[in-house]
Amino acid sequence: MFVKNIFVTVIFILSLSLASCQAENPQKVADFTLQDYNGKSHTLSDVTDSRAIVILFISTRCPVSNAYNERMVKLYNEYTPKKVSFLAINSNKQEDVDEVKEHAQKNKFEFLVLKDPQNKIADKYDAQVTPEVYVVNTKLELLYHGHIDDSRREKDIESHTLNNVLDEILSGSAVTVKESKAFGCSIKRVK
Amino acid sequence: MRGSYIFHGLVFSILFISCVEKNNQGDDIRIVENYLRETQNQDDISVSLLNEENFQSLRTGYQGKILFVNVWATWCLPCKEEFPDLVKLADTYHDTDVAIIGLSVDYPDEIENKVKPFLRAQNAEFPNYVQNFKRAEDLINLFNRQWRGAVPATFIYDKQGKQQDFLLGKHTFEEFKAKIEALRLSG
Repeated sequence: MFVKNIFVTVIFILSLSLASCQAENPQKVADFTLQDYNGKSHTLSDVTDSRAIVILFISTRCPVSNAYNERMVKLYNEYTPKKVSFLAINSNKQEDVDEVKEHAQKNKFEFLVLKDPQNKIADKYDAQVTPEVYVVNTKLELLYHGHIDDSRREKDIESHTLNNVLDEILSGSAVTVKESKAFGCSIKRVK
Repeated sequence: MRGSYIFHGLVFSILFISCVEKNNQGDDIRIVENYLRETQNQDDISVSLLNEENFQSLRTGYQGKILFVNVWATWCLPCKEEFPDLVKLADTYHDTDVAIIGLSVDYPDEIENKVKPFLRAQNAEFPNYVQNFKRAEDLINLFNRQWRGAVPATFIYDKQGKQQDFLLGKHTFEEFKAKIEALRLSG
């Protein structure tokens, strides 16, 4: 009985230390350099003066991604003055740079839109769907991964998840929802 | 002369009667066609709602069969491109040990104006559901925690109800069939 109690206590302490270790060592995302639709290169780790970086995997043709165009602009306008950086990535094989440029201009995207040829960054991030969001800090630690909000129909939104995440980061609180999911279009990859 | 009047009168009468009959026949055909169209519109496509409560019964209801579930949406182009292959798959495995099921992630209020017209145009006679979950995430995680919600997505369960395949993106009839046949061979 005594031995069993010691064993349980040891397991408990080990679990606690593992949990605290994980909390102290958040998952890091890969750095990358991609070109925008004008051919200018941008590196993620060069973004140093931001309180958070929002990376959005988007599509020009996906109706779900397009349902978020205005919402993404609104988020950009609301959080950029609060020192949050936004950059979008297009990894879809059939959406070329010209199409990405036209789409960004038509939708008045003021944030960077980068082309991910051969979906290498989507592969590194294991991004599957558009729209899909990663929020990281300047140490490239992952703070949130998931949807922008919980409904492609604006009138049915119940959780403004990305807004909540950014508000928590800006207020210095811990991010309560670190992961979420939503239906969207699959990223069309090169085989 | 009198005989000639009678003859022309007879010919005119025959032509008139045949013409009236022809018109009536045309009306009858139109009525039958309209009736068929209306009854077909009402009865040919049946779509059920899938929610938290009946998700498990979807699985248990097909136990003893290989269950193939394709998740799709009317807003998803690759889903629509893939659909004829699903119809072919359902025809191939009709009345066998394989059940082909479709699950649309459109909203329930889009069943009549989007889901059913699409299924009707595809001649899709296999069972189809429309999700009615409060949180999409719950449905996604019930299928597979590795799935982030991208459609089309296909899940294949063995006869014991264990998920054996999770296929993301558009696939062909041959690819689907190969997966099913591999499961059939393994028992």
